[in-house]
Amino acid sequence: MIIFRSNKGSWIIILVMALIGLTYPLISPYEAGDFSFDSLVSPSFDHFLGTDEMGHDILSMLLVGFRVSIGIAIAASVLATLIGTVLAIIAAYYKGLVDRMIVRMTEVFILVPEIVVLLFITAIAKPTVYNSILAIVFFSWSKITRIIRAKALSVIELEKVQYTLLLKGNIFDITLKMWRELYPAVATMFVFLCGKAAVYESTLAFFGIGDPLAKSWGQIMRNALDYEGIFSGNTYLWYLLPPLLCILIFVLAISRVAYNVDEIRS
Amino acid sequence: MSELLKGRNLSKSFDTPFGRAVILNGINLKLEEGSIIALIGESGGGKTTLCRILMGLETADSGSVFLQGKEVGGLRKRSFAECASIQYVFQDPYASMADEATVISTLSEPARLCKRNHRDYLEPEEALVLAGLSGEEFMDRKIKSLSGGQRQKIAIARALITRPQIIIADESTSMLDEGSAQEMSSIFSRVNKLLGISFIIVTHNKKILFDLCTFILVLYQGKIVEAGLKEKVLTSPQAEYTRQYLECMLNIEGRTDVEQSNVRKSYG
Repeated sequence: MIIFRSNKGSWIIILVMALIGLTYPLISPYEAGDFSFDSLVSPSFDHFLGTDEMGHDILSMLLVGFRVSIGIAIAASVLATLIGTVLAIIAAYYKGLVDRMIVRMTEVFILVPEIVVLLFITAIAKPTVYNSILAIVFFSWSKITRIIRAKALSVIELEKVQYTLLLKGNIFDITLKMWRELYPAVATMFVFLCGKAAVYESTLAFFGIGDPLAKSWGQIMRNALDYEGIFSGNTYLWYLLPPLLCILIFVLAISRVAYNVDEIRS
Repeated sequence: MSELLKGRNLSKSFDTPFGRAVILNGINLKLEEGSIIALIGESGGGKTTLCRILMGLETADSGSVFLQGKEVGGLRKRSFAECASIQYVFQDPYASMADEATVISTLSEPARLCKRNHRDYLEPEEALVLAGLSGEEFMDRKIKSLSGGQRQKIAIARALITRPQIIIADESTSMLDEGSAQEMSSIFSRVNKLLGISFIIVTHNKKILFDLCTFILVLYQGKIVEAGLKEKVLTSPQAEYTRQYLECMLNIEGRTDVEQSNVRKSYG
């Protein structure tokens, strides 16, 4: 895997973050929902990142955030990439009317200002993690479709793919034949989307529209800003900053990997 | 001899930045069972477009293609049997096969599609031998490790697997050295004799033109300017373009006087 070798640092960051998300119950010092501690304790050996105004251990919440935030990002990206790619291949394979209809559909989704509609949807739908994911997917697939479709339209003209068309290969045969050329584009889009979905999710939580019980990084930031005294002392240093840094590091690492995938492709 | 493939009044033009370019203008052609047609003409003169129209990869602006007397439309309208009975060998052996695939997986693709559509097919090993490669040692090699000539042979083997009646070979020899081109010519000849497959070969190769083919079609400025039995076209070309073409081929391509006189002797 050339992608791995060329960008070890970023991959290690992402994998460690994902690992934390998977295993946080083992390393978490306390229950995230436990608010029996003194409130607003400064960082100490008992509470590495102190406690919030309710008495939650902030580090424990942050660790839960690894699973929730990264999980949402990956789940949304997988779904959006899958839908986007499948539609793109259908458009490129059937051409004509089917292609035009799919393109029109993507245009609608690309034209509307997504963040506003995203807020609107999550505001009227129940604030659950699943709805957040669906909202993100709803507005992400169209761009993937457009980009992969453009690629697929050029790949399907390659002689090796035309050969399969000449023998009446069905859409699966064609996809299989095209996959080697399509895969880098799909992988790039997927990775880019992971970063974007993480930011989306935080934005939703930040506006108070995400699942209030799911302790994502955005939700912690929301809580931190809701506490009036956040900037009147050093509290923000261990309450607001850590989730912000987590998002930042995750998105930057993702972008570097995506950039690299992109370079290998071209 | 019955008629296998017929094109009637085929026309095709493309939009270019400089206006509409007429590539093909009322082409009529006929391929009879067991015969080998050599299609010659200028670069960019529409030879590949004509092949692609016959294959159904491109739709003609007007005119129609008949396969064994039955009119066939574009690729999507053709049945599998129709598609399988006419095979195309692409010009560029580096582009027409997946680099990372092995020989056996390349050859088993048409076999798999035939099986799915309940059509008799040739075993990949047999096809490989017919195409002049010894089966065993090539099967597990990657396509990307093969040379241009070997790739082209694999492409021909692949075309044989569906047991076609017609193979259209688009400049299969253009990327090969003279030796490989001659070898290719003898493969065509063998396949033609053993399996009775008819060919349309787009070519600029002397061996194919002078020895292998039975008919010659000359395409010039979108029209067939000359069509006929090889002997007739080579000895008494009617069109100005054909005369020039043969002149160039005999003189410039380094034929010695002896060779030229041999050619004149055999066809004169």
